[in-house]
Amino acid sequence: MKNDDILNEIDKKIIIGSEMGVFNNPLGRKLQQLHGLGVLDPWTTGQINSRVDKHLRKEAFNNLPFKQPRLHSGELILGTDDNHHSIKTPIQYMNAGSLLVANTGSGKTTLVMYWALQIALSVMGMWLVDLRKKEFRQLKAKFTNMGKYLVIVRSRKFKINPLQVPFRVDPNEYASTIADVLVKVLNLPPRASVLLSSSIIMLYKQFNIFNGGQKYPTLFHLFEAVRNNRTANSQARQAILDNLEAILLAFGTEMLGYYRGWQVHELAKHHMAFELAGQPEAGKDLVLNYFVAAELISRISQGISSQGMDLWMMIDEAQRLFSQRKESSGYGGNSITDLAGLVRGTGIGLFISVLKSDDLSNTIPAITSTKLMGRCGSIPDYTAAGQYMGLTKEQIFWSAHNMEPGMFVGQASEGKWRHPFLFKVPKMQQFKVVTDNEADQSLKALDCIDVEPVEFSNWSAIERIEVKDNAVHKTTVNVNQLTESEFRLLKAIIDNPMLPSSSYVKLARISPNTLKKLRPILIEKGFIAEHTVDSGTRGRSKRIWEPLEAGKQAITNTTI
Amino acid sequence: MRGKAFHNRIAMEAKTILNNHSWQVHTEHRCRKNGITTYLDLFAIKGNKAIACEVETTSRHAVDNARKAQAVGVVLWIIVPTRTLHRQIERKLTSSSVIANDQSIKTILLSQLNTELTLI
Repeated sequence: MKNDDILNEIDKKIIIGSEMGVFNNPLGRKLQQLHGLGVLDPWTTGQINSRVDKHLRKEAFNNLPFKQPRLHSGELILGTDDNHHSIKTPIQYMNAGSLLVANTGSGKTTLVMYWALQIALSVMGMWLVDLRKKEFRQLKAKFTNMGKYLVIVRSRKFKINPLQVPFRVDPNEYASTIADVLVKVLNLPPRASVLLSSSIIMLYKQFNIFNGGQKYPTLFHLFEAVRNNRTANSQARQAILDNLEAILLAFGTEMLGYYRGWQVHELAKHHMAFELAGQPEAGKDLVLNYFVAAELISRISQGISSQGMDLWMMIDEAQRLFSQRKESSGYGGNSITDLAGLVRGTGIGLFISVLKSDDLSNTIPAITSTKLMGRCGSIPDYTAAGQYMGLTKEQIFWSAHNMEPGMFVGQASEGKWRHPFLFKVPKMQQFKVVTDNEADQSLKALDCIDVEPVEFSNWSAIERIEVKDNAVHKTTVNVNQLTESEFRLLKAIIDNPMLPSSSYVKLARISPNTLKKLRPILIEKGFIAEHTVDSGTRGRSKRIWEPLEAGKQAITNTTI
Repeated sequence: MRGKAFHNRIAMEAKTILNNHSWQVHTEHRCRKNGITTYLDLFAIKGNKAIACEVETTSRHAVDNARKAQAVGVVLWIIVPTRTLHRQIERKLTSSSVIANDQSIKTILLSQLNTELTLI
């Protein structure tokens, strides 16, 4: 028996009206009640019919494949619908992952700024991460007007020590966590994780961290510890040295040379704009992974679970950070993708914005609950982003032809109404320009955080890193001094000069990848000269390496 | 050998190839004719045939060396490591009026030496 057989016209109107939410007010609820009791006098039926018909007419003329959102309460105004009515949700809906896919110029940053200004009042801390641009600094004046202070950290102004044990975390536990993070960030083989972990624990013992010491070893000390560990697995050790050295040289002591850098749990109490543009990709990974991992592990150790959001973290242009390719090519996956799934329960809201959906890690749509789509660049992008939030083909097709800058399709993470809806964000007024000098001035707010720099002397990125702390650690790292792989290769070239480059893989007992990495270094330092011998056919040329006097001198001076 | 390491390495490799083809090879060979003395990097003899070889790692001395070889009347093979240098030397020799179209002077890649010897 079909429903049509037993339902009369007024029953059908009640069902349709309930779906459309036309009875969601006191009189509407009374009408439903009267219908339930069978009181269907002409006034009641007239009221029911007029309410439902009015909405059906409205939807028919609307010509949009999206339902009118029934999101009218909450502190966060997401934007406005086509009738210029505000669409609101509680801010706590953001206490989970959010994903925004939109092309450049579609109003991504405007949306984020619009939301950030509202969320700022309701959270203790806010991290706005600019991976490619320097746009969030413009919010500084607005934040000041609201009584919030925005700290802007430019790319080389970080003061961090990834080996610093976060607040209330057991050093043993943290050693393995940060070792895993470093393995993934530096793209090291899995075996390196064990070596890193044991080296970090050894350093913690040396620095008396297990007995409450507050002077933590730095990555420079870690580099030295691994370098001096001659009995360690050669490949793992070499991989750590090669990759870590690149980070140390890129960041230098001005960023990483701190026994105690900024404590991450203190940063979580501030509103901050991190500008990572200009840093190497591995560097961006390291900073973000450290911040997220340290804050997360600290909150877990404090027993924080299922609490309201008090830190909102927004990562703009996060395409490369959450890359699928990176996840698959790495040995142990992408560390920050793993962490992104865990933040929700600890009161951290994570908002990720990307330009396009291809190469986005498959994990991200799965772990983010609020989904947003703006104007995209291609049909596959609309299709992929539409599928994340369950859009129909008609809705995707409509979006591809009608989306404009500032218009978004959204899906709320929580609440009873989780249908996709269309909304617009207002165009933001022109912001006051914030200069680099003003940005640096804002860092004064962090002066209250206790920071202790390492006493490096005579250090420069090119020549030498010298760690001078007689009380704890007596180490000298000389960048000009050869690393073990450099030493081996150079020695092999001097002992067997003028051979094709490929011959030195066996002679120096190094991997072809290491050889590839070391080649430009040795040439640049003037240790070897490279000559080319072409083959008779169209094959690759042979590279013949000639040892130079500087190289011979370097071998004499190096003690390994 | 009096050249630099790379020059000497090519010369030694060329010598080995010539030896493999049963040529008797002299290095730094002194050649004198009509009052002109020149030193050749390699001088190879097999029966009644003789080839003088000059190894060039730059195009700087190519024309001078070719002129000297021409003056003492020997067949000269200029051995070079790369195609780029091969082109440069060929261009220089062609533009030089004295030795243009001289069939006794040939520029060859080191990797082609083996093939050239089999064709003699």
